[in-house]
Amino acid sequence: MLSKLLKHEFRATARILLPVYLLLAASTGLFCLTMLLSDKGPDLWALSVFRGLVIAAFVITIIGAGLVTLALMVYRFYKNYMTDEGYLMFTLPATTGQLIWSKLIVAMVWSVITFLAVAAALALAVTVIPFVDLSGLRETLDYLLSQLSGGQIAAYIAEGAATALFGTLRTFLMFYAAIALGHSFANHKILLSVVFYIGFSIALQTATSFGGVFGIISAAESDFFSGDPLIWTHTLSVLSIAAALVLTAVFYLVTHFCLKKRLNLQ
Amino acid sequence: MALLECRQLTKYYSTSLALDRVDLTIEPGRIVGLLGPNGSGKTTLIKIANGLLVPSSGTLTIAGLTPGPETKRLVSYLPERTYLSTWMNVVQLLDFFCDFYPDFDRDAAERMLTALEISPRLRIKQMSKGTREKVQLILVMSRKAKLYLLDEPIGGVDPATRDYIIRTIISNYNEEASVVISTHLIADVENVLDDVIFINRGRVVLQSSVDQIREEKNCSVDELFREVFRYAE
Repeated sequence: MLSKLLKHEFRATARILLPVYLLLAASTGLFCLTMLLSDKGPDLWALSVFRGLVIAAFVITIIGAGLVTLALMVYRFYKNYMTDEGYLMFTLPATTGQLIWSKLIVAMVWSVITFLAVAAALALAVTVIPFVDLSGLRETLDYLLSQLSGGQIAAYIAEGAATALFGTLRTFLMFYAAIALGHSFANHKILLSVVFYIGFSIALQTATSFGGVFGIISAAESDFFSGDPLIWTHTLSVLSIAAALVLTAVFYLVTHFCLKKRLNLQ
Repeated sequence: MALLECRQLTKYYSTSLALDRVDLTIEPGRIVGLLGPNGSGKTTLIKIANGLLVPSSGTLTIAGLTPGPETKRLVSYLPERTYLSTWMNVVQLLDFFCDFYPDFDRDAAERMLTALEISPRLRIKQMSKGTREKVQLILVMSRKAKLYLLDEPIGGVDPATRDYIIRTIISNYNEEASVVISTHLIADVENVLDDVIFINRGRVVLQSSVDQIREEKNCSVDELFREVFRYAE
C-alpha cells in the first residue's frame, strides 16, 4: 500500500517540481551563456541591464527552487489530508503510518533532488564567472576536508549527510505535527497550526540555547576543550543527529496521534 | 453476521452530544435509508463507520471489525463533499481507484461515464459541481464492496440525474452487499428502500422495514417522516 501511495504522491508533486527544475536548468544555461559572452560584443548599456536581469533571474530560481520544494511538501500534507481530499485519503485501506510516511519519503526524495540540482547549478555557474580563479580549488578542498576530518574524509562526509538528512526529516515532521494538531480543533484550524508551529520553534530554540550553554559549561568543567578539536566537531554532529532523531520521533507520534485519534475533517 | 453493528455508540463534539447511545444492526442484502433532519447525527455515524471519527464511547463494527484498513477494503464511501483532487482528470482517477481498490470494476465505471457523456480527459476543475458529484458516485458505485455508505448522494443534482443515480445504486450493488443512503429527500429514494432508520438528535427513534411501515402504519415513509419530525405549531 505504501508503494501505491508513493507512486501517486510522486505523480502529484512531479507536475509542479519538474517544471521548476526545467526553469532552473534554463536560467543556469542563460546565466552561463551570458557570463561566457560578457567580454564579447559592444559595451552597451542595454547589454549590462540584460546581464543584470539574467543574474537576478538565476538567483531567484536558485532560491525559488528550494522554497517551492519546501512549500509544496507542506501544502500537499495540508491539502491532501486536512481539506476535503482527506475524505478520500483517510478512507483508503492504508494505515495512518503509511499515510504519513508516503508524504515524508516523497518530501525527502524531492529535497535531495532539489539540493543536488541547486548544487549542480551553482557549481556550473561558478566555473563560468570570469573573475573567479578555480585553479587550486581541488587541492584547497582536499586540504580543508582532511584537516576537518582528521584524515577520515568518508566518515566526516557521512556524518554531515546524516545530520542534514535527519535535520530535514525533523523539519518536515515539525510542519506536519503543527498542521495535524491545529486541525484537530473545531475552529481556527489554520491559525492554530501556525501558532503550534511558532510554539514548536520557540521551544526548540530555547531548548537548543539552554542545551548549548549547559553543554559548554559541562565540557569546560571536564577539560573537554583541552582535547583534540576534531572530537568537538564529531561530538557536536552526533548530538545533532541524536537530537534530530528524538524530535523526529516526538513529532511523528504527535502527527500519528492527531490523524488517528483526533481527525476532525469539516 | 451483521455487516454494520452499533452498540451504545456515543459521540461528543466538545460538549455537544452528536450520537447518544445508538444501537442498530444492518444485515447483508439490504438497501437502508438513514433518515433524519439536518444535524441529527447521520453524517457523524457514517464518519465513525469510515474511521474518520473516533467514538467517545460504545462500539461500531463492520463485519465484526472495528474501523481500520481492513474495513476500508469492504466499505465504499460517498461523502457529502467532493473529495476529488481538482488537478486530476477522469483517467487519472480511474487509475487511482484501480490501484487502491482491487474490487474496482473499471469497465463498469467507463460504461457509466459514457452513459453520462463525461469525457475521460476532462479535469475535475473543468467540471460543474453536478458533474463532479456524478463522477464521484460512479467511482464509488463501481466498486464491488460489501457495504456502500452514501451520504446525501442526491442532494445537489437535478431530478434527471437523481433518477440516474438511484438506478445506478440499485443496479450496481450485489445481493450480499448492503447500501446505506443518508438523505432527507425521502420521496426520491423511498421506492428503492428495504429498511429505514429514523435518527433525531443523535438517537435512533425508529428502525423498521418499509413493508412493515406501510402495513402497520398504513402510510408512506415520507408521510411517517413528516409526522415523526413535525415541529410544534
